[in-house]
Amino acid sequence: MRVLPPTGPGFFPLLGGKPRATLILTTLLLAPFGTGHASGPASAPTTAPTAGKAGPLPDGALAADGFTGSEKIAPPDADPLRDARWCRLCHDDDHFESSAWRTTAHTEQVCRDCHSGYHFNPHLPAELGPEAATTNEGATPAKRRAAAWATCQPCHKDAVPEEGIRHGLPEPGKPAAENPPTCRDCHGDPHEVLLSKSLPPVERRRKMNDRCVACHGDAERMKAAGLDDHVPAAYGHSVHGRKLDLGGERAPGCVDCHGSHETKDLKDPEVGRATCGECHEHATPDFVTLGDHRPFTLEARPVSFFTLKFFGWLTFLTIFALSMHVLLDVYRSVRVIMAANRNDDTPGGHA
Amino acid sequence: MSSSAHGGAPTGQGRAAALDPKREVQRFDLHQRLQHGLMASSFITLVVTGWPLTTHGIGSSQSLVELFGGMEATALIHRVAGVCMAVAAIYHVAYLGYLARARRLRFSMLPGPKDAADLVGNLMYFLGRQKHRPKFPRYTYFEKFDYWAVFWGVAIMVGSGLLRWYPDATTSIFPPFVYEIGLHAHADEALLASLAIFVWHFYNVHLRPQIFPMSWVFITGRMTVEELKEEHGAEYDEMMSELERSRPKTPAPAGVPAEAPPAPEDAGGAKP
Ligand code: HEC
Ligand code: HEC
Ligand code: HEC
Ligand code: HEC
Ligand code: HEC
Ligand code: HEC
Ligand code: HEC
Repeated sequence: MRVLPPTGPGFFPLLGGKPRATLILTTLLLAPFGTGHASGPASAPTTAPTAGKAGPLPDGALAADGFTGSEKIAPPDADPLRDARWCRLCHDDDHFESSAWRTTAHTEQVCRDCHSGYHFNPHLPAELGPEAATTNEGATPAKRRAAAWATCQPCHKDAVPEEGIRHGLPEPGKPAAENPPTCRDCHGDPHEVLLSKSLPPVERRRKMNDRCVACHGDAERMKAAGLDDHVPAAYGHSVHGRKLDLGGERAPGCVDCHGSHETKDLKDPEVGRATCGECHEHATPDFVTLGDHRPFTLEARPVSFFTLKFFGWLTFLTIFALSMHVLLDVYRSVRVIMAANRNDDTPGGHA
Repeated sequence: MSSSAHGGAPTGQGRAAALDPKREVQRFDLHQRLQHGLMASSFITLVVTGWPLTTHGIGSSQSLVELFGGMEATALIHRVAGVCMAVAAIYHVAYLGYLARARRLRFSMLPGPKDAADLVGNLMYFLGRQKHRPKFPRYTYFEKFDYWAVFWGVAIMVGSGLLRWYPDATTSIFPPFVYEIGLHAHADEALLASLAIFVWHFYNVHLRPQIFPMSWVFITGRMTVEELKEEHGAEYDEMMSELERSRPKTPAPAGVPAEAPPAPEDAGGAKP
């Protein structure tokens, strides 16, 4: 998502030369500047909207644009801060093209359900609050997580328990990860979240896999967490990964085996068996080990390593020998044909 | 087939006159042709439905899978073709058993010292150190190689295919590494077999200048005497001496089983 430039003179040209936005901005900016901007350092995110004074959005400004809004949005003479059109005057990004926005999961939410600190505009970047979520440059990961948490959890108490999501497996003696995933890491831009049931299974799995892989394939992040970054490659080569790649509707993605908000402990034989058992009827604890992501190296999987070596050499040597035989045959055949042509030519004596 | 490509004097000159070179001999009987047909069609189906899994990242694999009706349908076709291949193999073994009981099994496919000599002789011929190709027996060394490669290949592919079809049952019977062997054996042997068939076998039976565009024997089961003389000189000689011995008698009737010494047949014009 495009971040708009900071307020100031340089801000206007960067609106992409949109006469509408510039016009609205000049009118709006000059009138109520500073009145109700609640995103100052001292303001708490929970501050009740006070900017009602700002007055309704001038009808003409919207009409000039042909911007009619939607049924879901309150009429302009109600609280303008509950009106997404306010915000979209400036945050006129592809995301907020009304049609696209309305197909997402949060279509019923208005901007300020999540951006509670933004009262009037242009606003200063919030010090820290839900509205700052993850974009504030200065925010530490911990602060960003806290912000995302405070933004999303209140509405998603069912999906996200009070004690938080448990990503990864607690191991005795292992310190908790420095930088565990936030909602955004797994669900993407909150403005583009789609209802998972609105996606066909293959696409839903691929999409979530991409998010897991982006982080689990990041060598630095994984090293910091004491994990290995081999998982994406190993999954990609597995029969499951290949079949999903080819559009297999039953092929599992990461989530089918590991679960979503609470990582399953697949090392527990019972859990492992039940997980694989969803699709493989006769799963045994031994069977579960076929699904882990050990690479085919001498140390990790010696049998696979030697089998691959054996067949690699067998194939190379056999095909080499057969190709040489074919090439020699071709060579001889060409010579015979050429000789035959020469014999045909000489007695004929064309010259 | 052009004998000019041969470059040398015809073999068995004296007796050749006894037979019209355009007459045909029965080389493979109906059972053998059916076995070959079932094996070839199931093999090609298996290759095209299995290949996308190897090159899964490439767009064309995905279109190929779509062409078969999606991943699930492709997997189903692959399994049906696999069963057909197993049936072809069982058919063949049962057929061999039948021949053995009828005491008609000739063991002409077993490799012997002559094959090593033929290989050396053929290589010498390729290199121009020898004027003629060796006189090959009923099955040349490269045909024997094909046969035994398929024998080993089918055993591996059917076995490992079953392990992979039921991975959960496999691990409840065997330790997990047995599945691992099956997994790699299936993929790698498939590659080896495809290369061997499409490079080697197709060259020998389709592209070789002497027989291009192809040898029809796998369809008709018959071969002209002229071809037999060039491709299987030793067998031709044998046939000729046998004919000589049974001179007064008329040639054996049509439909002689292929494992019996091939006999000339009155089907002169039937060759396409
Ligand atoms: C008059 C134009 C304008 C309007 C109307 C407007 N914004 Fe903004 N907004 C901006 C600009 C400019 C920035 C960039 C500020 C910066 O990066 O310093 C911004 C930044 C933001 C940010 C990111 C802040 C950050 O910390 O990075 C959020 C969130 C936001 N706006 C939400 C809203 C919401 C919600 C509304 C509607 C209630 C709204 N805006 C209405 C101009 C506007
Ligand atoms: C479901 C909650 C939610 C809703 C509804 C919502 N936002 Fe956001 N928005 C967020 C979160 C969380 C972030 C921080 C995203 C990040 O960068 O991680 C954010 C970031 C932003 C930003 C910051 C810049 C950026 O690059 O991402 C802008 C601007 C913004 N939102 C505008 C809006 C507007 C305008 C609306 C209404 C049309 C809206 N948002 C509705 C949750 C929401
Ligand atoms: C104002 C309440 C509210 C807030 C705040 C909110 N959401 Fe939602 N969210 C909803 C509603 C309502 C739905 C639609 C649920 C449905 O239809 O089943 C939804 C759906 C979702 C879904 C899709 C669920 C599915 O079934 O696939 C995800 C993921 C999601 N939200 C993530 C977030 C994240 C991340 C945040 C924080 C940035 C957030 N939500 C903040 C109300 C909210
Ligand atoms: C490790 C990745 C991950 C993180 C982090 C994460 N989620 Fe999820 N979430 C998932 C997965 C996977 C699903 C299952 C849906 C799917 O496969 O698309 C899911 C489902 C959901 C749903 C739908 C609930 C349901 O039961 O259908 C909501 C709502 C949701 N998440 C919100 C959140 C919120 C809010 C946060 C941050 C506090 C969050 N998630 C953090 C991976 C994650
Ligand atoms: C933003 C980065 C990030 C994303 C995205 C992410 N993870 Fe993780 N994952 C981690 C970190 C960091 C740990 C280590 C947690 C710890 O040690 O406490 C971890 C741990 C795990 C573990 C436990 C490994 C072990 O044996 O300790 C599993 C399984 C896992 N993640 C699966 C997933 C799946 C499935 C997804 C996608 C839905 C996903 N992860 C998305 C960062 C991420
Ligand atoms: C077929 C089920 C299955 C699928 C699909 C799967 N995993 Fe796993 N995964 C396992 C099993 C089994 C283990 C081994 C148990 C363990 O060590 O926790 C494992 C282990 C892990 C581990 C920790 C051990 C290691 O090797 O580093 C991570 C991280 C992980 N998986 C991430 C992922 C990600 C990311 C994806 C998707 C790209 C994924 N898994 C897909 C079954 C699966
Ligand atoms: C969401 C369903 C699902 C889950 C869960 C699942 N699998 Fe699979 N698995 C499949 C599908 C589909 C195939 C493809 C097999 C086919 O084409 O019939 C497959 C194939 C396999 C194969 C390979 C068979 C071959 O072709 O060689 C193995 C091994 C396997 N799974 C192991 C596991 C293990 C171990 C687990 C648990 C850690 C697991 N699976 C969990 C759906 C699943």
